[in-house]
Amino acid sequence: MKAPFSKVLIANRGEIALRIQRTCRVLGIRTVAVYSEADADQRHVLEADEAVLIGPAEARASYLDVAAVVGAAQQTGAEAIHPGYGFLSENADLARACAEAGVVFVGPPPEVLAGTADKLEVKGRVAAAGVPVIPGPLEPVPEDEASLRAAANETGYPLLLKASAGGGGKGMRRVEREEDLVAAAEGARREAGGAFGNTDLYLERIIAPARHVEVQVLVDAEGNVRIFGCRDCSMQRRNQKVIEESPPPHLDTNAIEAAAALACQALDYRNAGTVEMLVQPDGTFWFLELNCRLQVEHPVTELTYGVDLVALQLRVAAGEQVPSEEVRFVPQGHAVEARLYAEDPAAGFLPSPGTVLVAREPQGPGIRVDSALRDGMTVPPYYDPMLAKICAHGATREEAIARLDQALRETVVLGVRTNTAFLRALLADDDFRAGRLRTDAIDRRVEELTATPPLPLEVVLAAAGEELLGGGGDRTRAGTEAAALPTPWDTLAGFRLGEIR
Amino acid sequence: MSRRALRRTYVAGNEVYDLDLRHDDGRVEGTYDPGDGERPIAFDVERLGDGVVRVTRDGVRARATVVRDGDTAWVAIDGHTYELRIEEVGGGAAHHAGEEDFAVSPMTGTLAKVSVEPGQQVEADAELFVVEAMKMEYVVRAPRDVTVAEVRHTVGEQVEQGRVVVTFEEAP
Repeated sequence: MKAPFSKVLIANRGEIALRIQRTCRVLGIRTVAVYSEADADQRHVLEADEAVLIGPAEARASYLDVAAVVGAAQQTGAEAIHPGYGFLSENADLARACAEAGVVFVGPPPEVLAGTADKLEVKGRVAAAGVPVIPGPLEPVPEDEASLRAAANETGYPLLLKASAGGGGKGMRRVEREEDLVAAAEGARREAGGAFGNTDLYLERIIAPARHVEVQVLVDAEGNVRIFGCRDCSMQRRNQKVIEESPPPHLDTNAIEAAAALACQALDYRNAGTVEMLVQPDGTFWFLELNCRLQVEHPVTELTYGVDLVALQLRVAAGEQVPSEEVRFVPQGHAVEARLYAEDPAAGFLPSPGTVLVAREPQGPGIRVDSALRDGMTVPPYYDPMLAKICAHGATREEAIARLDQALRETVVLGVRTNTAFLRALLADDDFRAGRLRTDAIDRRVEELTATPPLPLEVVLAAAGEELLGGGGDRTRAGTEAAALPTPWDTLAGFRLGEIR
Repeated sequence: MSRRALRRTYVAGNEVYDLDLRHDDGRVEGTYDPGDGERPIAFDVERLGDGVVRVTRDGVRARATVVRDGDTAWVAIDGHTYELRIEEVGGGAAHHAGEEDFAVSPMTGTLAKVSVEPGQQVEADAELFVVEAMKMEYVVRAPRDVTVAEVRHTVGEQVEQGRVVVTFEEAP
């Protein structure tokens, strides 16, 4: 098959930039990286065919600068821009600027992004198409305190305050009692204003207990909808996903997938997207939101459906039809993903920027690692602290979980604090193992899940012995510069789409 | 070849470990005295590769990855990561947490909000300032009843981890 493009610019950083580079390499597409002054030594810059500096460390002046990103594409002759997730991925201005510059935006057309940027408006359009939406006013929260209180009382406590322009948990606040409402709204507005430049909020009733189930869709230029099943992303901490899996255990997803297709048609959606739903224990489900991008957790779908979603995104963006007569596909086995973060669970999950002195990634049957790790790398304080996604594929859910746990045991990251032990505690949890999933499970038991285990004496002995033996263990900051870089082909080792071994 | 014997002190959490160590050509033998009349524990450590060692005690072997960064040692064993502080014998000053007359940023980020001003008396646990970074806001609170002396940064400024943002007046 002919490559859809000959050169693609990737407007992102970290593991997702590297993951998109991998598909480009497989398709024979040259890659252009963009980077901020804080990221000159990151792998996404070093492994791309070309790289363009687009601004200072602050994302607002670099990765979020539409003119700088499009300028870099024009300067390097890139035919398309893949935005990854986060940053400008759902930004209609970027899609519009691409169209004006004659560069293909790998995602929905600007008018679709403009029409879906306001989550509250999307909710109204989807509801009109007959898809069930979460109870709450379909108008933004009023600015004045009395009307805010009245709207909240009508919605009922506990409730969620959400940013109309929101995403990734930013500008979102759970409010248990009326006395917390005003302060929560103030905080949410400030966070939303800083992150999105839009302080509009809306209210939703909290659906609990519930599972977070999302549908992977792909719509080609002709509007043909294809569905690559569902993922369960119920394992969340304060609305941030931690563990994701495909397919959702113990759940008939037929009606959910049909509703997702309806939502895509109502919004005239194009390219890859995710329809998020909340599912109650009795199977009742509610539309949560549409994400107009590749999701962080897309690897579990790639593993179980044997597809390369980035390759499909590029083909759809180039105007090709989705290569299948089928509308829905059948998963093979089960896949689970864990998000590895530079953060300190024992200190309330504070991010832990710094220098990664040693990084060892797991390998083995069914293991896929999407990562930007390398020895000596900086974890800058300016961006999301996710280091890697560790994924495991197995014939059954039990096998996938066992493989993922083993992979996490073999994952070594020293120099910054990580959530590895927390991830393993989640995998060991009885309710998780039994597939009894609910979005509030982690928050209800967070202390137990982040308990620090007693220090084994071996740890002290190892440190003492190594100090005397010396030889390679001392990676103080100056000593890390010479750390070997993997070649691009080495980096395909942990990459795998849907083959069970 | 090289043969050394020495005593080292390690601090992890609230525990202090005094170890007697003998270094003998690529292998370290040692004893750890747990005190309280308990039997001293003998162990040895061998180097397996770049930063990887094998610890043997009571015939049980464990593999560990170790890296040092100044006076901190990072150790990974069996999927768990630990951070140890290494101290010279006799070194280390007493440190009393919660008695500092200042409040620092817990992380590098942007100062999103300052809730106090100089001269203001605040109660323990009152909000002092808010730092925003990555995806979250962090609220820094008063460690005890204090009077604010100084606010050293303004909203919108970048503050590094450990940077003093608010100082307190000395208790009368």
